[in-house]
Amino acid sequence: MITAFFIFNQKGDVIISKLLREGVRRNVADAFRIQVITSSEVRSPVLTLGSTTFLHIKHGSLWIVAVTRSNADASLVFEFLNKFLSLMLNFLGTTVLDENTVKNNFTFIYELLDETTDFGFPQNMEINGLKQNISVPVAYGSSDFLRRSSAVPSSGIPASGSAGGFLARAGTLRRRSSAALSSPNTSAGAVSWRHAGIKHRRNEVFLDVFEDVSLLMSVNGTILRSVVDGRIMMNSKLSGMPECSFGFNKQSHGQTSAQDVLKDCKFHQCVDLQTFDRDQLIKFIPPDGEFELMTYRVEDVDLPFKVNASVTTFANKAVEYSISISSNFPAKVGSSMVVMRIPTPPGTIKAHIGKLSSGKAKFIAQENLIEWKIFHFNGSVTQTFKASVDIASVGSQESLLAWVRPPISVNFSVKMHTFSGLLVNFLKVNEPSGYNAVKWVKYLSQSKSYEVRY
Amino acid sequence: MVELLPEVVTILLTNRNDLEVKKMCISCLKTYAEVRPHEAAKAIEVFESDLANGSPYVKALALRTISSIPTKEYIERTAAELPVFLGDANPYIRKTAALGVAKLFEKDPRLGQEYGLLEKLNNLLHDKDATVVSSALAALNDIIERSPQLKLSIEYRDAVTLIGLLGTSDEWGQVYILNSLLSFVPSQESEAVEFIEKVMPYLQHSNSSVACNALKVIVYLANYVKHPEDVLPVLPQRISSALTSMLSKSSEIQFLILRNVILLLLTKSKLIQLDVKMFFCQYDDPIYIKDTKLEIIYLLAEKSNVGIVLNELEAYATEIDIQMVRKSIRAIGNLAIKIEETASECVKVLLDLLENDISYIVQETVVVSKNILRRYPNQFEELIESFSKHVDSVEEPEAKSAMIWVLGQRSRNIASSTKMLTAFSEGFLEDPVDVQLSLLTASVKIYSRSRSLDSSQQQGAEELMLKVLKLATEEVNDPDLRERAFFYWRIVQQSASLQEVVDVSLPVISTDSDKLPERILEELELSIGTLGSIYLRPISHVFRLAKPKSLAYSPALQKHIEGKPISSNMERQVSISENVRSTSSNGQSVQPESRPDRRPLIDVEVHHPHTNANGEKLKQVQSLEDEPEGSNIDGSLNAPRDVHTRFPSHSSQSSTKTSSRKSTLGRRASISLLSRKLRNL
Repeated sequence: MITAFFIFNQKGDVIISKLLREGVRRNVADAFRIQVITSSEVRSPVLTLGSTTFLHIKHGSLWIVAVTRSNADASLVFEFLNKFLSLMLNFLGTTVLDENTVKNNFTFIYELLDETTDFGFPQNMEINGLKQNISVPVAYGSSDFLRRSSAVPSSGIPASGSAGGFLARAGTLRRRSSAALSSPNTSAGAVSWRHAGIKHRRNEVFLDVFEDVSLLMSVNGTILRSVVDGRIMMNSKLSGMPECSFGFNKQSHGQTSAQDVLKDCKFHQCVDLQTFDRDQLIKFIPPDGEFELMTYRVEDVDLPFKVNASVTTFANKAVEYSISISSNFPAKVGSSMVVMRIPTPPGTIKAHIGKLSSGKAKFIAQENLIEWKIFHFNGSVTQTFKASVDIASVGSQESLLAWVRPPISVNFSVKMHTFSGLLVNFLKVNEPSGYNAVKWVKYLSQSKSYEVRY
Repeated sequence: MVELLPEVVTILLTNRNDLEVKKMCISCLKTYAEVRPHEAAKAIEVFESDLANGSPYVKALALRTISSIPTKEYIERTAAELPVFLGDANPYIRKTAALGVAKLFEKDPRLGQEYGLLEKLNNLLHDKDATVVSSALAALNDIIERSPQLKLSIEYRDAVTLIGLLGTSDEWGQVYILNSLLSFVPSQESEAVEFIEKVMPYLQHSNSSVACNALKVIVYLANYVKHPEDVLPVLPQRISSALTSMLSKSSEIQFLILRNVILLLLTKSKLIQLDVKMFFCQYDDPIYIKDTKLEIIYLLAEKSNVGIVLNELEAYATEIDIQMVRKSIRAIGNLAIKIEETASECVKVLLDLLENDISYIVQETVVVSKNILRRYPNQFEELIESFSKHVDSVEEPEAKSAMIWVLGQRSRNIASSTKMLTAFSEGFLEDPVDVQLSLLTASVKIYSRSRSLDSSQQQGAEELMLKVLKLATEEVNDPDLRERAFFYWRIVQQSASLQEVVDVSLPVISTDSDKLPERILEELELSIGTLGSIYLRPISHVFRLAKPKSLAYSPALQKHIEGKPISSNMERQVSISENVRSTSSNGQSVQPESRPDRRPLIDVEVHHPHTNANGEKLKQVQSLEDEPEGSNIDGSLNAPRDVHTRFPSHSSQSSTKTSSRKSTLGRRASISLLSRKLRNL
């Protein structure tokens, strides 16, 4: 299991270090810094030195590292690291964690580590249960917490002022309302992710269906892969112990039926998998608050956008582009902003934007690409793009030869539409007290990596 | 910070009711107690009173704290308190106590035995609460992993109970329970099928660790079913979709899953149906994912999809990342060898690539082409033709050796081969030993054939050979090379047998050597999702401390691997239903006993060094060699590595290790190995 946990900053300084078990010393962190952080390229997220293994994930400029001994379960460790990261983000209310946020909240992070691991075994990582057990206040950004404890620049370094002074302040830290802490969650067993006695004035459920579509199209226009990664986020504000069940439309407008989709999905731990396996019914007692109910994956979907690109290189140091993109969804839905990024060869000095049927295009020299923005893209419409670029005459031959032709990428998002054709058909909430819950559903479909080779 | 410990202890003693302060103090205490045991011992009284009359949460916190601090006072306290709390009414406390036992056994197993904690922990397996059971399993597993004489075994009845508990357990508990199911040995096929069906739903858990462990259990149980894919026709589809849906997770998890896909392709290819397109690289995939995908693409390539696969590989071969380019070219070359029907298409692609005349592409193409020419002795003259255009741009040792080998082997088809080899001999003394060996052999080979040629060519060949032999015997320090040169010299003198010795028909090479030995695969299969499954090497090579695993025998077991199974009769059984028999036998002898058993694994690697050393084939071990050098630190990793670096001198010389050459060179190889070892000393 996990023997030690570290967070490093970009330079390789340790900002969080905790030994969860015996078997390694704090200075193993040096080995990781030398072998991984300072090496030029990371060729694996796993590094084994002797019997000690470092498993890391990267987040922004931070390295989040778990150390294990012997042949540990890597799936467990990676899952823990990812979950721990998302817990930190969730508690700290940000989407990107940086060095300062970590430093300002180091006591919180240590406590979170204490709560989510015991003897290096991950446990209880459900945010709602944890909220009751975490006692340390969270410093959002550079809040007053930072100022008050400014004598402590980072975790391991003692304050320059008198030690007694620092510790005396411990009593003055802002407290969470003591009521919340009075009954820390010790639930184990049946429904560990929800405790009894939750009350909401309005009983509401929000369902957000997100779909990310990825496409990889080859030079000759065949589709190498088209995948929709969907996830359903639920925000439950329900009283008591509600039992929910939920289902999709049986037959969608595409070829994929809900039954097919359901074969390829993953559920939150609250979903009763054995019932699902038997009756294909998604039944669960939701945790309170927001959580990811399920993820699914649909392959070979109808493409939301079709791209035809012809890129011709000429010996006289020029490249000509002729691209068309057509939307392939119902006319009544529309995408608000479609951005196409069209790579240009290295050494491009000037781009002549030709005729555009819509939107604006500009050449971004630093990134070697032309960005074409279409502000509104309706369903069942085709837009076209023409441009040519000049390449610096010195070494043009080589730069054209060495041009790796990165794929054209398209970014877009479509509201209230799913590319998989999957729609939520019903959501039932059953609670002994028999209240009526209000239910909201939202759909948002986006591009993840929509790549067209040419 | 250590200096603050006395103060922290004081605060702890005076702020007994403030949970927030207490938690911070505990954090500090845990970290520094070991440095100042006496100071730390003063705080023990706080925890004693907490344990006596705190709320369940406070009690559990106190229990966790005292069991985590590795000083004498705390360890003794823990051992005394645990028996009480293992039987507490509150499941949260029982759960904490269960892990406490594992902590104690790490620090002082003798003390744990004295208090009979193992038996008490064992009893917790019958607890009603799923979390308690899963924690107890986790703790037991932890203890067992570290003590060679212990083993967990679970009977059918208890396994059914455990699977029942999966439904009410939280995600991590499910991981520990699923993992423990490997200790259940199905006695009949029907039991295995039943459990596979019951575990299958967990493949769909959003926690990839639960899904991975479910997969591990299913693959394990499938060994006890005759044709799992026929008995449970949905199984392959379920496994495959679980795998593919995990490919949308973070790239580290993707990497792990991809490595396990390779493992499954090698061992249980019938249990998965994967479309090769799933594994085409994305532009922004990290390099380690691209590498692994490339290996999978190669493994999945077959006659029916070779068209798209080749297109894809060709696209990678013109990418910007040089490593990637090289690997895709190797993959193309290996494909030509793996599937005979595709050879000519592959060669066409390689010829196209050669046209680019980019240095590293040429090097790599030359290396793989050598294998193709070797595999199809009388075909693909066009490759040779194209080669001759690029002779000058061949620079890297491996490519040079390959080129020289081709010039020597196919000298009959290359008019100017002697001339080109002579050009190569100019830099003989500066070349690395691999190239020197190749040139030596090639020049002797050409000479042996020269009798059928006209006199000027004869003369050229003889001059070349004499020059190389002279340089190799007089100017070179490498004993390997010198030995071989003397050896040739002697044969040349008895000219009658020369051609028979140096110019024989070579045995056919194949890609079967990708396969790892059964026993290793079996152990890896039982380690799905672990670090071992990432390395895809014998686990004991990477992790010396890891306990060896193998399939336990039962009448339902389908495959039987030659050799003695790893002895388990000496291990003490910890079973759910029986209590532990407290007489521990000669447990210490277990470790060395099972070791000789694993020896052959090392030998296997030594006998087929080309499987990893020469890199002619794309295979699992290859990506491991990209690891940072640091892996060398481990002695166990060192052993096979040394072999790799030592062997290419022979294998690259003759393109692949050849068994026919072994007859003449085999003895020499071992001698030179020895001499090299001596030199290393």
